[in-house]
Amino acid sequence: MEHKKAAKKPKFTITYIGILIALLVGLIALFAVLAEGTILKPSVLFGLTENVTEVGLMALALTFVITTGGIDLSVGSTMALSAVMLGMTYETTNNIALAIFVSFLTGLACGVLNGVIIAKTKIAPLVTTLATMSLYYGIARIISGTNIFSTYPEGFTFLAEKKLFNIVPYQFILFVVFYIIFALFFYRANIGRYLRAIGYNEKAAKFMGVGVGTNKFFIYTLTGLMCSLASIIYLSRLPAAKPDIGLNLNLEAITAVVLGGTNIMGGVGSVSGTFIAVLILGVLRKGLQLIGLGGNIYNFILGILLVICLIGFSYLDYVKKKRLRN
Amino acid sequence: MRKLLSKTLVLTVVLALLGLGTAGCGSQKTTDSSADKPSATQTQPEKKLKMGMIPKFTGVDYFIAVENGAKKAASDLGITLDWQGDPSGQESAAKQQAYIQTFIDKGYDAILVSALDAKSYAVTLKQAKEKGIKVITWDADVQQDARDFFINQVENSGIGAILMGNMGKELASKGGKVAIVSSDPNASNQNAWIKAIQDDYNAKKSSDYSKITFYDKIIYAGNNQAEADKSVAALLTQNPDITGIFAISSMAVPATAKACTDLKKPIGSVAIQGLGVPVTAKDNMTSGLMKSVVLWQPYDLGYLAVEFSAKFIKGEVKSGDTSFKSTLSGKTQLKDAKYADSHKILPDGQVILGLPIVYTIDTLDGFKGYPDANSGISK
Amino acid sequence: MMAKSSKIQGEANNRFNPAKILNKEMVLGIITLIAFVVLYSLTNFKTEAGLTTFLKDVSYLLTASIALTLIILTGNIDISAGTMMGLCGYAAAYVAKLGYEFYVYIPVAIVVGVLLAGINGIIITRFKVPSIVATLAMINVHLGLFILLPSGGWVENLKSNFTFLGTTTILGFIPIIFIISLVILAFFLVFMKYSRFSKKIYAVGGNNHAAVLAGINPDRVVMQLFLLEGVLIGISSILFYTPKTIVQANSTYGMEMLFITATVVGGTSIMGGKGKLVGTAIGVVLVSIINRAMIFLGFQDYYSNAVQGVVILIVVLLAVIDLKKLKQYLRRILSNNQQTVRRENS
Repeated sequence: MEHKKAAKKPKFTITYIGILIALLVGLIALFAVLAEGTILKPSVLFGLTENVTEVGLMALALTFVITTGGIDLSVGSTMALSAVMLGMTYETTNNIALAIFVSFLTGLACGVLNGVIIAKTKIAPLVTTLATMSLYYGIARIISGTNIFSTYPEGFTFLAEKKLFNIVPYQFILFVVFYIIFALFFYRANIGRYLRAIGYNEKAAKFMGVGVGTNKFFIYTLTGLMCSLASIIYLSRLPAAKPDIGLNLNLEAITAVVLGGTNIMGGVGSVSGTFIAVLILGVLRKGLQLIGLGGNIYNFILGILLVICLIGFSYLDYVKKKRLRN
Repeated sequence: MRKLLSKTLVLTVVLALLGLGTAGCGSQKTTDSSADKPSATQTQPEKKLKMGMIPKFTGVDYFIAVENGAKKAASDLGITLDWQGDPSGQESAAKQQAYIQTFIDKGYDAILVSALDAKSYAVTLKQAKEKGIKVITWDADVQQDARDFFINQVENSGIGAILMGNMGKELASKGGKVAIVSSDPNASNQNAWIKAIQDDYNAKKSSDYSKITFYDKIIYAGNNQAEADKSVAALLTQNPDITGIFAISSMAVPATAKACTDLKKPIGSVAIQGLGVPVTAKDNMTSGLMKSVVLWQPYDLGYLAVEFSAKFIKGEVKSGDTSFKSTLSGKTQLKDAKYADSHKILPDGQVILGLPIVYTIDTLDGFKGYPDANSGISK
Repeated sequence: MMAKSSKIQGEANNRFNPAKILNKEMVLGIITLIAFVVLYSLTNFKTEAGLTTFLKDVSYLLTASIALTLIILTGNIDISAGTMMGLCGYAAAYVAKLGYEFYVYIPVAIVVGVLLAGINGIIITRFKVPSIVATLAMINVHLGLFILLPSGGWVENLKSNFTFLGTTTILGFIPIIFIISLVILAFFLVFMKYSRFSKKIYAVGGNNHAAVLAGINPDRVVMQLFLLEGVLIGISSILFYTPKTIVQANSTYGMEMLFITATVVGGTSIMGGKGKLVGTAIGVVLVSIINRAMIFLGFQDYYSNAVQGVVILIVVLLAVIDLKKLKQYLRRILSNNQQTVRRENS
């Protein structure tokens, strides 16, 4: 099959997605063998998607961000802060609708702060989100003190309890819906092209007429909103709001995006890849738990996985560049 | 558009097939592997029971002793025990919930947990109960409707009376301000003990404890030793007039001792009443910093938890019973003290191990199960 | 002791008017001095114990921040410094528990540091992975290693062969670990002023391509700096852990934010190429003072994260705003000067 170097993106993505799907199925098979088939029980297989939604929503938004060559380290903290704000609002006002609204408002505010700084000033996303990561986490800690906000109304945990056909968790359906929405925008709408252009060469994109500032502002704000959505889903599953909630999710989300085929330097992005990668990570985590390796082993493997992916893609980039030069 | 549609279609079809396909053979597996209903075990040959047990965290003397006791019971009774937990400093209710979920997935017969937080995973525990899995809490309880029984090491009121009483005796002549150092505000057991201390204090406020006042805030030292050290040091630095401290978590005792030593407080100027593993408190008792430490036998707690759960699964004890006889009943608790003939079961489902023990420097080597699994055990 | 804020002009970058730089450090120094005096007058601090604890805090912060500053000067970052420090400290404590003396366990800490930082360096220089993501991933690799360690990363009951370093003091209140950190600071101040290597550091951080054209191999410089970071972090771990009797590998988790804050407050630009060690030193003192003050005022730990975040944001924002105003200012005032305003792209 002739590899056309220039217009290779769509073909490349499909092939890589094929690899990802194969990896997913392979992992399920592996854990089925290792854990005596437990993972194949539909309650388990679909059950694992419960945790996947939170990371997944973040990862979808992060795909947009990383495609522009940026990064957002504050996703975990934004989620935590939104959760804490929700818990606190409900505890003080007993109005769940208000609490949810406040939670979204928090996510929006966090995203807006990131977006304004990144889009309007020359400050790199790295520093900005590094600082806001600390800031949001800090605010969450200040607000909570030593409390855990665990009072919620009766129906709040419905997302976690009820399932479609008693098997497929509603959260997963939510995740799939958002995936479709994000994918549509990314692959078919202008914004997808703009983001890829910004990531590839920001100055050129600007000269092409792409509203770099506007787009950047938008994606960081969107990320903030997705984080608060994720926090609501998390709380419906584990109704205890405390500042530590999303701390590790930074790594998971970024790993999912990179594993999914999005280039960390920007320019190439794959929302579908992120979707499957999130599922892969979910299977990985569940499988490890089933064979008794809970705790931090998952994070450890995640770290190594991220490093391997980064090295792998970096090497591929290098090879590509070399071939182009010849 | 077609590309995207086709991709999504393929994915959905794949997942659906996966789901339906495994639903077929999966449902058969479920009826086979989980021996949840008691009737099932009677019609089939006696299967080995499988239980999952989760401490608050691992790596500290208290829970190591529990683990040793629980594993001894498991081997005595022929039970498979799966002990899962995270090291101190890395524990969280979310992680405990993940272990619980795994136990449910694997179809264990019982889940035994010392809960970091009474409410967070109540939903998951209830799901376990719906599947017929027995849910037993020990050491720290969850909300009542999420569990079948709670193995409580002592009656909460007893702890309060002993701690407050001993503090009162130590401070009899000079009185002063006392503070309470706990682990975190969500620890149900510690909260119960704090309440017991306060109840006892309020009862005798005008008589025995007339010279004692309480510092208005409760210090939450956390479950991490370094944090605990910092918190207690801050407390004593900002309030040099404190003459007594209730150290009621495993981190609090060493933290208090360290703070007193670091701040060069003369021995006897701060009365330390606490719950702690005697072996760890040994140095403090030798130096005179602490006169005694209150605890129980966590080894026995672990043993009882497993034994009780096994008998509960087999139907030998049911809710509504008011007492339970175990292998420990009548046996030695510490040196000359023995356990009662049976364990009390309170109306709210608490199964009481026994009375609190006051360890002094002479009796501390009677602590069972730590530093090694066979220490302190006498027949 | 406060002589740090003297007029040592390190290897300055010549983008700005030297007079402006002097002002920056002086202002910082004066703020720090005022803060110090304010803190000193609060009761707790006057005691020997208070001052000693403060100096102990400054020691490890200083050494580690120097390491971070060097890395940041090249335009990279290492957010795994905290967990790295924990592993170094654990290794040293483990060896010390076995009974070995300081001349064994200190090199052990350093070797572990060099190994870990070296891995970061390889991933970043050899495989061209952006430092932020690489070190983010490494944090979790480190955390995973904690579990694999015997007794979950804890070493208890450390005896005097380990703790003596942390508790010995000169003149009754100056801890020797503080002296050690001062010596290291002095060494690096001299190093940055006089060595050729330091010029390479600024070149790489300022403009990578120009550096290559000038014959510098940026990869080599960065790799060497990571190895250097490893040494410094190893030393910091000793300075941090020897005052304690229990070593928990995960107690340094998240500490790199402190180091970065101190570095940024001290005037180093996160984009690289700008900054001086003197600034970092002052930043370290200032950050320690703020921490102390917060503890004393009863703010406890909760505020530290938020404060760090805000501080970094403010400093970084100020730097950016400064640049623009400065450009206009310079253009107007120095209109007939040869100094061309170089492109501030990073």
